[in-house]
Amino acid sequence: MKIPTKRGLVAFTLVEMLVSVACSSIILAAVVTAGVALQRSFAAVEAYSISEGDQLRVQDYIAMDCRRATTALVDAGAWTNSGGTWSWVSNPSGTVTLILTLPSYYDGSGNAQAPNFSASSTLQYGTGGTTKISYYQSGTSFMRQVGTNPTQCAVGAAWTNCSKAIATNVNSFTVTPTDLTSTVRCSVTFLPRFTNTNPGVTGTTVYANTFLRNAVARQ
Amino acid sequence: MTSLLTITILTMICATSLYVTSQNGNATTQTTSWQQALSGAEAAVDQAINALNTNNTTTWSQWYTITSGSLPQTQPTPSGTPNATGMPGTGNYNYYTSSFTLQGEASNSVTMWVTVDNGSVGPTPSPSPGLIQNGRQAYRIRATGVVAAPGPPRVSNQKLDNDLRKMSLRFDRLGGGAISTPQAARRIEVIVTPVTPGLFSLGLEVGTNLQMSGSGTADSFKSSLVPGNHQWSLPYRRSNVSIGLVDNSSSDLRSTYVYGNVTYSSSATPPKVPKNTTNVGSVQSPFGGSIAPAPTPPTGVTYTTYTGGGSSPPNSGQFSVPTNGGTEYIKVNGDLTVSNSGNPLHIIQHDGSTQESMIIWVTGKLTTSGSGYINQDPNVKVTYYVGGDITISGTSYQNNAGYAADLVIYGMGGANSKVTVSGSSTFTGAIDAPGYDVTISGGGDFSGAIIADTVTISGGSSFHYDEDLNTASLGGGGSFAFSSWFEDNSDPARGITY
Repeated sequence: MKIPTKRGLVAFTLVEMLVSVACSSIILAAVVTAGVALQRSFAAVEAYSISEGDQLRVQDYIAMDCRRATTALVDAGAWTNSGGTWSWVSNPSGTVTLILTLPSYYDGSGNAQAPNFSASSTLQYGTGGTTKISYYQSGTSFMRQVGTNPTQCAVGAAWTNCSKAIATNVNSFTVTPTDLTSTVRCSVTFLPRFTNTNPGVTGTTVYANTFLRNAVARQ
Repeated sequence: MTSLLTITILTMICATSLYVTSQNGNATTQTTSWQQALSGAEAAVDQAINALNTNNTTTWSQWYTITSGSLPQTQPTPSGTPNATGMPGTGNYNYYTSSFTLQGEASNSVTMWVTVDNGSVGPTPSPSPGLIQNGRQAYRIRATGVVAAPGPPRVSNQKLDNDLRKMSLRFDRLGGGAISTPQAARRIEVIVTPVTPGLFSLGLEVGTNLQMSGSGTADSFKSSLVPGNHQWSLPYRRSNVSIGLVDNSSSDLRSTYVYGNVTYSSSATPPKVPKNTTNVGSVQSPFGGSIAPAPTPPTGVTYTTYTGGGSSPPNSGQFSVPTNGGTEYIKVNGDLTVSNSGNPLHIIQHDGSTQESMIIWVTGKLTTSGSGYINQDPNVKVTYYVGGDITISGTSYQNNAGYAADLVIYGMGGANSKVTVSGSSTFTGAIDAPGYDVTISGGGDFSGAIIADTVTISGGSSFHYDEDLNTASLGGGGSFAFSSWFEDNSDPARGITY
């Protein structure tokens, strides 16, 4: 009996398959391992970038507002609504808040007002009104409030009398209540966004020491 | 197949990572550009304050003076060469632009431009009486620093940044209009006021009583800008004369045209208001200034002494500076009187190549009368310290330089002493005579500045304040310092002001 043979049918031998699978596995393992490592590295860098952005933003906001403030106040308490009017109520167990008073540079339409000297030779804009800017921690958010209303601004609404979070992942906010006639010193501590097995990193503290240019100029 | 799938997935992950990294880099450069822009704006403010403090044609030489009803929102593009010669007046502003290089993660250059005005330019000009503090002019400085933001015109992926750092990606957020490259711009507004005003920073500083005739005028000019004899003339009139009344009693301006402002205080109850001020640029109260005692002659130097009295000056009528660029100290014990044209007093410079000085201390009265006259060479600055009355006229005191700063007279006589400036010619000089009663009459103008207890200007005489008297060399300064600092970081289109 003749056993038919299939001419032209070529295949890998078992040994060749095993060797190729083994090599491929090693290569893929290396690629996957590298990919995972790159991903972790990328996540760490991304977290660093976000954290640095938060820190710079907080520093720049505080510096900008402190420079143009006429007075600075540090107090514990809260903005409280009484009869439809928001006002500051001190409370030793309340939230530490940095309250800056700025001249009312803008009119109701957002246009710059004209500078002039009052009857007592004090420089003012328009009729001499003021606006409050407050900084405080709310949960893990760092809040900047324009005006006296602590309610968070609605999406798309004007930031005229409400608050917004300017940074997240905040652990603490402290203000040194010394020499507030010329300098504001404060620090904000951010929690780490990327953690590893190293227990040494507990957070990053950003210090801001800003000269009250506008306040000193008016003294 | 599995390998291909794995590699494909990994490639997509890498591509996404690169994209996010690119966005982070973009955000970093935008942040850096925004921070650098403040440096540019502050440098522009420094330029403006330097120009205000030094206030001469050299420091203003790179500035333009632009007449306009409003301050620019976008960078001006004036034509021609810079034409500013001094501080801006009413209805115009001075403009300057420059750029400087720097190194950092963002752009390599910062462009800055700045405007200086006296508050009279809109869009919201200062309300009456203007940006004036205690009778002295303050100035508004608006400075803008612009830094290019390298990278594509892409909004930062750090969304919270976008409320703070308002980048101009395709349109200029400050002034509108399309831009070709993204940029960060920051604007600050600074108000500066005189800190240590010069002795003659006001035109007239009067203790209690100012009387004007109504037929003359009061205005200002800058003698350094007038060619030739440096005397006031109508084309060089400016509106910066300040009249300060320390404790007004019965001042009456009789509707005299005052091209400037009047500031007064009054301790009376009710306060005494100056009368007939309808033609004054602005009137405000309180004044806040005071009149200091006149300075005393220098000590520790050697005076050449003469005996005074008579109708002729001593030393055959010649006081001369012996050395080139030097200072001569002369003391006349008694009255210094010049009443005879045959025996004038000639104050002689050495050789005229450099500025020289002469101090003349007269223990008695200083008098020129009749046909007598004093002739002062153009390169000698003369300072008189007079213990008694002062009687001079425009004809009888020939200040050949034409600058009021070259003739300063201090009256040390105190209350009830008198200064009489008469004649039909212009008298050019500055008089600091606390407690004195000053009378200007005869139709001749007074060009310079006066500090006295009472001032009476009659006979159609006009008063022209020489703004060049407001310098550090005359007992004060004219230095400016911040009264206010504010950064305009608003974005009205998005409802953001503060």
